[in-house]
Amino acid sequence: MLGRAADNIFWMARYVERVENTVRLLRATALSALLTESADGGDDDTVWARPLLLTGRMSDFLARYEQLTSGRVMAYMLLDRDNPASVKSVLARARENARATRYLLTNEVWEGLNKTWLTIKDLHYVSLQRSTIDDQLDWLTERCFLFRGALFGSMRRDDGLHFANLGLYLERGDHTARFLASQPERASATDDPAAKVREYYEGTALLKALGSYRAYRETFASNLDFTRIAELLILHATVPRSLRGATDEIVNSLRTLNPTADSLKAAHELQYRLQTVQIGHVRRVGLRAFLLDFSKELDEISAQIQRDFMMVQ
Amino acid sequence: MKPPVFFDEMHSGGGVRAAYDRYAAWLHSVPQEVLQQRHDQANSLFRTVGITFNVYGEEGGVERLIPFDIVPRILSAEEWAIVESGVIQRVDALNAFIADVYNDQEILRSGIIPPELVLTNDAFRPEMLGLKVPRSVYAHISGVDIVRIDAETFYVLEDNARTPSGVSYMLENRQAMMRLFPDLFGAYAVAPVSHYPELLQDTLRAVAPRGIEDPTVVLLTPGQYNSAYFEHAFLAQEMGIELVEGQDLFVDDGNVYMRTTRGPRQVHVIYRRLDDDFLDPLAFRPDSALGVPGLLAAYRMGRVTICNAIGSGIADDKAIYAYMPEIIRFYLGHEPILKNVPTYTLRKPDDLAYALDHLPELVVKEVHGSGGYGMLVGPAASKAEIAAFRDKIKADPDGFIAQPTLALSTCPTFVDQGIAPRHVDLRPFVLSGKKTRVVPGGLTRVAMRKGSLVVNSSQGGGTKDTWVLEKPNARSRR
Repeated sequence: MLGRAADNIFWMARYVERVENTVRLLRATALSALLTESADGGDDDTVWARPLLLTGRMSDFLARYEQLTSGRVMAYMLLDRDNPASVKSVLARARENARATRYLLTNEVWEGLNKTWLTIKDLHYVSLQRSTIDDQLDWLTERCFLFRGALFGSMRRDDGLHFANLGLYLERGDHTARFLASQPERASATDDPAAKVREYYEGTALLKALGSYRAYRETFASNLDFTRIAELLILHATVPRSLRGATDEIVNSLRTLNPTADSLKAAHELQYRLQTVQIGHVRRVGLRAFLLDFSKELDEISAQIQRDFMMVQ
Repeated sequence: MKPPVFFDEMHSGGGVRAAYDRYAAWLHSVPQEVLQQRHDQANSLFRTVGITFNVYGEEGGVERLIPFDIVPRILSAEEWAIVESGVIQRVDALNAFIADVYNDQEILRSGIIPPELVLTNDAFRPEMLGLKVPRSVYAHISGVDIVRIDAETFYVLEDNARTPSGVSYMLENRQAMMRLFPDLFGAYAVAPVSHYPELLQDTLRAVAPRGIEDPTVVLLTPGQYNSAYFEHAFLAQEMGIELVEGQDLFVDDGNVYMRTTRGPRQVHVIYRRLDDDFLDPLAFRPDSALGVPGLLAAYRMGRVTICNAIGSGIADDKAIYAYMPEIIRFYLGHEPILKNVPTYTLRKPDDLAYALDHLPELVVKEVHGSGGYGMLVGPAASKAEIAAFRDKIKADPDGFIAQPTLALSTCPTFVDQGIAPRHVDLRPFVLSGKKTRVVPGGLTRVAMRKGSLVVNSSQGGGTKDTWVLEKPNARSRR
């Protein structure tokens, strides 16, 4: 296929995944806000700062708004066209990329994405308030699932699908890593019952934000524990949002595309590291450093994929 | 002046024409709300599929829907037989004419067409002189714009031998109609059109450079901000070929390649939807970022086929149009089946004088204009508009032709006030490869504004599905 078309498909899938991650992030933030309120009377500001910090939009937000309120952050992160990280902006780019390459997409993929865009394009904050925000977030999540269903259910098992898969899992791995890295460092709980309760609620919010609550329950027959949560989301290949799960997908797609590509070599090294490392070791070097390093590796693989397959000139 | 009488394609003297009988009965039995609901359904269908076009002169990225009318335009098998044989004849003559002016120039030497009209024409490309193209076909895809004024008389309004567009609307309109009105397709045997992309693919493959058994065909688009981008993507998808932009192609050692994820891949046939001027910055407009440097050289070496051929625009030039009946007689030895509209070429002093005297009755067009831009429709224009146009003509008579205003037929159309007659034309799409073929029907364009004779989408025109009825036992014979 054309290098430019591969690039378009890659970014289309990457941006849709980014939409889903942003929606999850907002939902998790709303949940945390409720929990902090009930726990210690509320430090709402810091909770609502998280989506802005994670997407690097804090200074822009503060330049435009005086107050950090849940409504402002929601509107800014969902619908603001002047915010390049908002769901509306990211969907616009996903749809632009799809439109540029729609001749390679099945009608199911294109029309589904186009419909999502046409609906959100005309959505403004007033109408958002009229329905509940949760309903909107649910709807967006469903549209992202529909997109993936159409992608994997209707596209030929060919290069196009592999480039979409690469975009999807590079974005997902990066998001999981940066989301975990943004969490406050937590020691495993002591015997203090109040701390135990807090660990339970915070752990739940974190797992739900990454769609992995059930996975935890099914994998570990124990109470929620931050070390195990980290282990699950970093090292377990069976968890669809784990770093290992994402890396395995990247390796598989690259191997099919070109077994001698430099990007595959780099992905292999990353995969090997995740296969062999123990969670205890990760904690000793520092969880945050490990995660940010992983995110940087993904950036480099992404850039190498561009060089290996998509050179326009 | 007495008001002109327009031919109504559905009604005749209080009755309904045979082709429309079952449709008319159905239409009268359906409540207005149902029509409105289907109309809305069609709109949302087209929006989801993304059948939009970009309007020139508006901000980039503005996508509009072309109004789609839910009332079909119905032609009987007999009516279609006239149109079909007429457009095939016409396109065969166009191709013979283009081949001639770039090679032996017999028609110029015989004095039938003044040589300067061809040789100094902007659409004439000296680069094409002496070049042999596969099967001697230049206009592989043509759109012939046809209007009718009565039961038997069809006129060709203009030929489009460069990059005619609209065929995706023909195909999508049919899809939409079958979805919205399945019952009607049970009541009528409508000739299918959806095999057009197959025929197009077949046509393009048939004109590959000599010796290429399994050619790689691509569609070259100016990109996603072009007004017809939807159609480019649609056709590429339907044919399963790559949709390329200039930046995706390069020429090396006389061969054309596209940049793929697995390295360069040679291209043999380019279905281009890009004007001559932009094809090759080394040969034509040097500022074109849309084209492929060296493409003309590769073409001249016979390594790649460009469809339609460079320079095919000479055949659809409005100044050449006036000579079409002569051109048909000269190359084919037959009388034209479709009529030509009498045309005053304003470079001729007599024609100019006549036209200036009769502007309120005439349609005046720019010789190189298209899309309904820059034309005067005399009967619909104000005195001030006519006066202003008179000055434009006087300043540059060579740039204009004039024609009598035709009484375009009307077809019932669903508008705000209900069903009302609106003027229509028809653009069948003619394919020339091994032979010349046309799918039954084409794109019917309709002037949505009451009384308007301008059907171009850029001027607020809409489209209709065009039904060609099959002969009573055509189905069983297949």
